[in-house]
Amino acid sequence: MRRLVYPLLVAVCASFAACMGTGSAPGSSTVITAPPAASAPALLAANARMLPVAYEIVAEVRHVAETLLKADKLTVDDAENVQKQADNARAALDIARALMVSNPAAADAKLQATMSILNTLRGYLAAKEKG
Amino acid sequence: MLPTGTLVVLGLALSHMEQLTKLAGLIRRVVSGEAITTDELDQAIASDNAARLSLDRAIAEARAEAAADQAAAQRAAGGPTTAEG
Repeated sequence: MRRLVYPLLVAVCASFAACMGTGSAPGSSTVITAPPAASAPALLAANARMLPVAYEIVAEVRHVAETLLKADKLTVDDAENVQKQADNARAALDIARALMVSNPAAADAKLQATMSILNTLRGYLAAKEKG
Repeated sequence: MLPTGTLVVLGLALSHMEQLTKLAGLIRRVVSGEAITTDELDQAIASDNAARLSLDRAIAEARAEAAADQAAAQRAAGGPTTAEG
């Protein structure tokens, strides 16, 4: 009985693993390969890992400004000013992103400076929210 | 029934909370040393593009509203309804 069931189980496990695209069947010598590397998204380099966070913070700043504008806690001129500052931060991040490979030190400095500007902007908006 | 303006602000605040949750998750992953992909960078950039457009629209609407209020106030005062000079 075991002689019959075991190969069947191995075959079922192998086909299931093949459908899932990962892993290998227990006890099986079949090698299930992962999907081709070209289809997997590339990983960001260690020094670029903060970039998505910085872009999301710029988006968050704009979002807060919009909420405060609609709640009448921010004037139109102030909202426009925040938009301009966020644009400047975004431009700096774009430069940092472009420099990540060719000049990592300059890119890092740009990123740090931008994060500092974004913190100031967030502090300004937090004060408006309370006031 | 809440006024429409309040509902708009509440909706925006909820959307902002969603954005914050996403941001917190991303920060947690960066801090814990998890892999971050170029797709996630593209998504963050797209998120900022959308936020920029949305704020631009809100600014334009607020400007139009302020102009309409000003015109109404001038009409009520019997003055000119358009800016001169």
